[in-house]
Amino acid sequence: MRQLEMEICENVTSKKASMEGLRKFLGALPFLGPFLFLIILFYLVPVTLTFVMSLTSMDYVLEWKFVGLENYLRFFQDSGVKTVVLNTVKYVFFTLIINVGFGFLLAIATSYFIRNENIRLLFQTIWMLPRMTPPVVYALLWLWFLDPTEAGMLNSFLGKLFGIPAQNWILNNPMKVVIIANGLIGASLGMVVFSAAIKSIPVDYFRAANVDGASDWQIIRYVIIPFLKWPIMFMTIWQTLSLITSYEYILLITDGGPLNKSEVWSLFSYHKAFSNYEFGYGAAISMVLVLIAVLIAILMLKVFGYDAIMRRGNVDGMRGEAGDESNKNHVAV
Amino acid sequence: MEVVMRDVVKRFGNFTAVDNLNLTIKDGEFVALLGPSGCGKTTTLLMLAGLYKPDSGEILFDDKIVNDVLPKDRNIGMCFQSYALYPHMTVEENIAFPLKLKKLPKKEIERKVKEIAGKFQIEHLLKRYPGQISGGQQQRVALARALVKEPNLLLLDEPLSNLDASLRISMRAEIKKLQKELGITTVFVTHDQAEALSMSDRIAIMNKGKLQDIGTPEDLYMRPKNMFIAGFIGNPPMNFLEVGFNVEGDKIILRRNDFEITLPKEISANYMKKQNDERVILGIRPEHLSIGNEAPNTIKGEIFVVEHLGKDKLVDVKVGNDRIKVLTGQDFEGKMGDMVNVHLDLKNIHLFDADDGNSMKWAA
Ligand SMILES: Nc1ncnc2c1ncn2[C@@H]1O[C@H](COP(=O)(O)OP(=O)(O)O)[C@@H](O)[C@H]1O
Ligand SMILES: [Mg+2]
Repeated sequence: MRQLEMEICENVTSKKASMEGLRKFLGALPFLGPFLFLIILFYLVPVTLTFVMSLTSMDYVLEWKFVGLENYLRFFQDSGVKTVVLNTVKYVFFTLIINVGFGFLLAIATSYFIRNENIRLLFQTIWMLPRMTPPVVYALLWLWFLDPTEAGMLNSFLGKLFGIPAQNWILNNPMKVVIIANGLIGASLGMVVFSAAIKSIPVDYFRAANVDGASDWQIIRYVIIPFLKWPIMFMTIWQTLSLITSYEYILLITDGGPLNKSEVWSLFSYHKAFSNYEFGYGAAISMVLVLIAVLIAILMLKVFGYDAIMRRGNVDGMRGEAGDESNKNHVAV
Repeated sequence: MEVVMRDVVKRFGNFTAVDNLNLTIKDGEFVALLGPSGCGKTTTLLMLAGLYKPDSGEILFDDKIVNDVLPKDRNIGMCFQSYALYPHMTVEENIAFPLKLKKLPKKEIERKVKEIAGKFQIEHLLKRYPGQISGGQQQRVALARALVKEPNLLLLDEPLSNLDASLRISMRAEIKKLQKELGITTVFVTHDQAEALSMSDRIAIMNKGKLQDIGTPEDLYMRPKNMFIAGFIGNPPMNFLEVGFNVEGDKIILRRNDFEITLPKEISANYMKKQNDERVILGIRPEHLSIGNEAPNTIKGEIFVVEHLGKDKLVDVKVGNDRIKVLTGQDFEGKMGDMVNVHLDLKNIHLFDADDGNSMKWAA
């Protein structure tokens, strides 16, 4: 009897809960609405269109002629794909190291070692400049800096100082140039995010470590890095996803050349579609990439835990971490 | 270790946070740095720790000037108000951290951590993270971490202010006992005068960056050198009334339009140097006032409010435009609006100069 009552009670409460959920969702709709609309308009619609297009043999005639999975089969047999995939992996991996690693070093330098607020601001602003520059201008700066003639900035600099003969930097090291140009831009974002995180570490931790005899290196190792665990994780995921799909700087600086040496996946798709006018094939290449990006995102969210990333993006979240572990212990017991 | 601060000044921009501080802390002594928030206590402590450098003056440890000695070379144990326990380390790792930095052998670290954990009764918490233990336990861990390296000087910055009232009182006794056991010279920062009175050998009381006085709790309570000390130490705080000062023969008469108090000869002798008719401040603690029959040499007033303190009652009496607090027994039955006569224990009055607030007893 009593159990029945309880069950009824539970039923009622769960129903109530779902009603409550619906009401909350409707209440939030005015706020979420614009975003949902934008996501649908600029993400779901293009993805769907691309998917449909990838099933056609559309070319410069712009005809929707369905050919099934033919484009996908072609992609997996294309001999150029191997280079592109390898380039993409190299590009993402090394750019990421600069983005996160160099960003972290910059953050340490500007928020931990430079104590003077004005100097710090100056340095951070300098590093922010590329980000505030339109991509075309930034790419042009690189082209100008690496100009292959003797008048090129790097060439004339090296020539005058060390007598090194002029060389064509971009032609000789396309991948390195692309990685450095992209890495430096990304590093400024890392710097800003990590600086904010370092500054939000309560000063008492640094004092305690100092009194206990920690050197600067030990403070970085035992205090700063543990506190920055989640911002670092977050930046890594974020940058991985954005690097996989970005190509504008590569397009502007090397255009994938020479001979596909710096061609990455997204640029490959762009070239197929807009240089060769193979829209159907280009769309298929993009679809595979979208699929991979989604898989990586899901994998990372699974590994690190969606909640954790969202909640632990800040330093205060550290407490939550300990709390979680106690919960786990309870379950284990 | 003996600690001496000599003419120590610390400025932040134009603002002088610590102004010409002179202080000697004897070996093994427990000294409280007491003062209101913002008076420069933490700044003083951070200078002792070596985290701030004095702008001028000298800090000496055992006769050696340490102004330029780095914090890590001072062998100091410090405990922060926020505890500053590393959230990503277990309790054990937190306590072991100072020893690990000193590169002690693993075995020895383990032994020392166990030993200090035993002393603070936190052995069962060693594997937990700071986020998984209570505030009181975190406090013990922070103390254990400060003490594990056997420092020459222990610095405590408001270590009890984040604890609830009952825990705070029990920790007072514990810290004091431990300090005596270990014999470590200790500087304890607090804004709570009760804490300072109950724990310390001597209290250094500060206001606006300046040291007001340093003395035993009894000294500061019984013979405050100025109105700031008189008002800051003791709870409920001392009452102050502005009165006219008249010398008639060998007696002093304190007079204002609503009352007149004649001080007996032996008490008057303490204050004789003043001229007739100057304004002075009469200070007297609530516990040295009582409510009684109509009599000469008492103050007439109207009860404004009666507060229950548990054991006692605190009666607020309106005297002219002033209000004074009188501590009475639980059996006092006056009500709001009653007219009463307040009796003064004349042996325990204090007179202060109305201009500079200094005690007239000390000025003599
Ligand atoms: N790093 C700093 N920069 C500027 N002003 C400071 C700094 N540290 C402390 N002060 C100021 O110095 C005064 C004393 O501070 P502090 O020693 O922390 O006081 P407390 O007695 O409350 O511990 C305060 O007015 C505070 O605002
Ligand atoms: Mg303070």
